[in-house]
Amino acid sequence: MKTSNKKDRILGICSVLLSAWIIYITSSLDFPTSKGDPGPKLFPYIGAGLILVCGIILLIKPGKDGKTFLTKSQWKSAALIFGVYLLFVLLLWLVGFMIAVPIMLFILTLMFQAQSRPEDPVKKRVIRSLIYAIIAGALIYVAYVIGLQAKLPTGLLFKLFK
Amino acid sequence: MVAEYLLQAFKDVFTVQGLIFVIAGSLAGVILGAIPGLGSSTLLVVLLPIAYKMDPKMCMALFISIVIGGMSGGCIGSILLGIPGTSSSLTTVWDGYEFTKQGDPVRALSAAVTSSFLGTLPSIILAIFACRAIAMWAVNLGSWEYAALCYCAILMVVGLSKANMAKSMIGVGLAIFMATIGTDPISGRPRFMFGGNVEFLGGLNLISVMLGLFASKIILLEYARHEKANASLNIKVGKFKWPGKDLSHNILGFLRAWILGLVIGFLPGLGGPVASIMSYSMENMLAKDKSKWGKGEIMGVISGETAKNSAIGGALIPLIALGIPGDASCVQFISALQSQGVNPNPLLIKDRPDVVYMIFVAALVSAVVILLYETLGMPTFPALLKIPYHYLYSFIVVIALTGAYMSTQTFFGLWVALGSCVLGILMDLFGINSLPFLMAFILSPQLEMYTRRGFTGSTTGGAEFITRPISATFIIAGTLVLIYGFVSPLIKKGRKSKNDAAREAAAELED
Repeated sequence: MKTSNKKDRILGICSVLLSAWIIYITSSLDFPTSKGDPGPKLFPYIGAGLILVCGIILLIKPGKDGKTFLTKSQWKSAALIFGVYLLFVLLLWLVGFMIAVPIMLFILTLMFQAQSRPEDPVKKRVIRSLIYAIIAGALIYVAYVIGLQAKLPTGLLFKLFK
Repeated sequence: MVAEYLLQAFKDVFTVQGLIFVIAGSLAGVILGAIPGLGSSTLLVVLLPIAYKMDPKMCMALFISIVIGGMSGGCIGSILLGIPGTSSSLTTVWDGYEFTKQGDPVRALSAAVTSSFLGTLPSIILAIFACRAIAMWAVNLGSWEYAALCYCAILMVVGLSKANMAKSMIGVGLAIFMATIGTDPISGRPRFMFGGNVEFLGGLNLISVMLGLFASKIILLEYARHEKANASLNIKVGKFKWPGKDLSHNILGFLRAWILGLVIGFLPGLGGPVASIMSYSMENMLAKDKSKWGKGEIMGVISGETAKNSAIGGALIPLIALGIPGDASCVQFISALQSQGVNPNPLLIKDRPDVVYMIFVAALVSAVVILLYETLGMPTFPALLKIPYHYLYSFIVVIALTGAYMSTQTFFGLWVALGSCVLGILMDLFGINSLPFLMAFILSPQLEMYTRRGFTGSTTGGAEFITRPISATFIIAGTLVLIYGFVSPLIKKGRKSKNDAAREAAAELED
């Protein structure tokens, strides 16, 4: 039976390219060093060297591919949830911590409920997520802003309308 | 002196605040340890950004209680669901779940809970004295020895892990490069600003990296894979039964597991998972009657549970005495200490005895709290596994991403966390072990600083690295372990192909 070793070959190529880039940006570093000091380039070069040598080893002797890491539909789900992470950053920047947290809690609880409680009607899941988002959001706000006195983003929109 | 510090630490733990932190940390650890997929380290990572706001002693009491709770709670999912709560509890599934299938989960749970406690307590007591002795010896070491120690620790993690060596070294190389981003430790000048972006001056924040690499990535993959065990658990668990007979019949095995766990915990990068697997394999090998192993052998439960818990005390020794993290939980400990402005190194025990002895005492009290809960509250175990994860996961994501912002007080921390999340997924995709990466990322700044100081302070062009006996020992040990890691799979492969050839020859003769 023919076994694939595509993954290791891709990793090998990426490693060689990455090390070349690190060597290139490190070579442009230029500042004086004290006597005996090998200088600021030594460790980036060591890092690049390790990546380069091991990348070449993988290219010469790639291992067999293991079981599938994620299926096509699983990659889509992963991309979807990463999109929600990005949305949180956008909301934090735009409307601030107070609004972004409950919105995020609502979306994520709804998404996870679709997996954990698929038998429940959508309306029930939405109401449950909404109640949880408001209560947990309020608790997080009290804990962070009042309890820990953390400085969290207030949001661009609120700054504009102040 | 030690007695005074211990007494003071006991006084601090037995305040209202101290008890709340220890009890809450222990119980939270047990719950997260019991739920497959999460583990207590996720909670530690999520708590890191708020660690700097806490009193250092209370923070450490909370963190160690979570670690001990998580380690002990892992057996609950393993025995009741047949899915390990944590990677350290994998061996408990093999025999522990068989007891549940046979309708007697209490016997396995009682043995696991008692072994966890008996594994933890003496290992912490030993660590109290060992740390002091090792730290007193280590304060006399110079830059050469420290650099060699960091080198040895990184290579040991790579060499002893069962992962692909070349891939682990790619992770190490990447971590070394990433750790050099920011201010140069010797000259103080900026290094790798990527288009003059001043945000990179402080480097890539360790807390943000861990929030991305652990919490955000774990939840993302849990959602994508949708493998969560359904909470359709209808097992009834009765009251705790003292496993006196099970322990007395296996006392030698218990002692072997305890010693093995302690030694493995001491070695960088191995920790609970390796301790439990090695102990289980050893006891299986030594057993006269192997017929029950894998079908409900109580020693299978006792060996793994004892070893993984005694590994906690073993891991605390290099962490506190030398500032070398033993496993992922220890890396989080170091991050929490650093966020408090406390740098783990051999002087820690002398400079901050209050914090150090608080860790030990809180660990002891936490072990007792967990034993009390797990013995008195054993019938509540199935309820722990029914906690609705859709609430828990959304909460963890929000806290983790908020924490990433808090760790730098800028959006840069959030981008670093999201970047680390992607990096973590890519590392998993290509089979790169994250522990050598993390170990190198945390130790690389010290390795660079001590190496360059070693060269600057040298009169022989850096020959001290190999002429000073301790430094040379560390360098040789690290290198040998790395070579062993590269060579051992080849030897195994050679043996396997020899055996295959012999089998083929025998088959031909028979024909």
